[in-house]
Amino acid sequence: MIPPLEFLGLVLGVSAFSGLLGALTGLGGGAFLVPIYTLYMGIPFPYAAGASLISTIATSSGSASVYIRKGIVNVRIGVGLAVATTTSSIIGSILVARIYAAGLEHVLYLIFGAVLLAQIYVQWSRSKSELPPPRDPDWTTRMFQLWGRYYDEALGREVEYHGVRWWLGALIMLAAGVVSSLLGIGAGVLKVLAMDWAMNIPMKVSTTTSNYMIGTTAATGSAVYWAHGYIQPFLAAGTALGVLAGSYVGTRLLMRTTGRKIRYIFIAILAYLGVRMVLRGLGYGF
Amino acid sequence: MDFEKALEIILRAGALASAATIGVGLVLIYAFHGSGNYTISQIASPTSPINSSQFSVWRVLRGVVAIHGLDYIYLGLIMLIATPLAAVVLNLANFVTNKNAIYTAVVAIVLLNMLFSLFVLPLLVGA
Repeated sequence: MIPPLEFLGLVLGVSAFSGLLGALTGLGGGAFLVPIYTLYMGIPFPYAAGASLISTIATSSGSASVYIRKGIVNVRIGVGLAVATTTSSIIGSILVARIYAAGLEHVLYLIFGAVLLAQIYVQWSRSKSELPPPRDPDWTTRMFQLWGRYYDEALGREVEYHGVRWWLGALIMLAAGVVSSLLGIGAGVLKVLAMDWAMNIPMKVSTTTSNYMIGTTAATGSAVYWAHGYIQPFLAAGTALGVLAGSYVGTRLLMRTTGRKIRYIFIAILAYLGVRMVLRGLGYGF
Repeated sequence: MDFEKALEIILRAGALASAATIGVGLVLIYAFHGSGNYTISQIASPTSPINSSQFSVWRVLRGVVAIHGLDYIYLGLIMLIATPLAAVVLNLANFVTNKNAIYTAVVAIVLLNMLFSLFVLPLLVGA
């Protein structure tokens, strides 16, 4: 039995570390937090996912405000696509309660492991160019007013852009909402995929807009988590504060570190945690 | 005040106020070696039986008056969850003011989703 003060210290430390890694990789704290909590700290999956879900709301609110001030977030596109993520996060939260009730927790470990392993590819082939190749506007560009402008610090100029294929973006957002509620993570990578790949929106806009949307999605999913008792107050408290602090530092470090070596370390951590989660899901509970 | 400035303030204030409230709750738990009838070793455990299913909003408010640390944590968590909700309401007001019909409709659905999930769904699944 770990003494109360040491337990708090451990929770704060692990979640600050996860928040830092989450900000540097763009995956969000939950991607590292849930595996560490469940594999190494003996925390039940529902409590780990509940604390993680809560922490993504804190990170989203805390950091989105910075990017909104800088004018990079496209609030209109974000809150519009939230129509998909909030709907599916409700479905996901009901689904996860069924999964726990049916004793199928190992399925969640498998999905989580698969999500982590899929990130390796994303990290490996992370988009090199600042701006996507231009595409002609389609009917959704006009209907959903998918345009905007921001000042790009790397390019040193104002960038005007427009998005396309809102419907495809919204479809991927449906998946992001389910994953978010199932695993207690922000599923930012899916949200970025929806905006960056499907809708042809510049990387900086899609990353920061995704970050803003994560709070709306997670808050919606948190209600069922609350009602079913997946939120352990002490753990959620330490996790929210730790991840908030870690991601604050990480966001500021991000401006400088984009080195290749660092990315290899991230990939190694992702591969390790991903394999461990899959093994746990298959019943190898070491 | 313009809309984006207001949105930024809501998000920042929500994050800071909830973090501060949660921090107060943690300090209270350590200061009183527990919260209400719960001891600190019951609360600060990886497999603690204490969780959100036992706490309704009314109970949290009573606990805050009684200076119970756990209820300060819950109040902070409620503030955290309420922040995106407030942001969506602000967005809706902005689209209504600008007579943006399609986004007024879309964001109204987002708001309905959130209200349904936060206020109706717990009653349905909690039974």
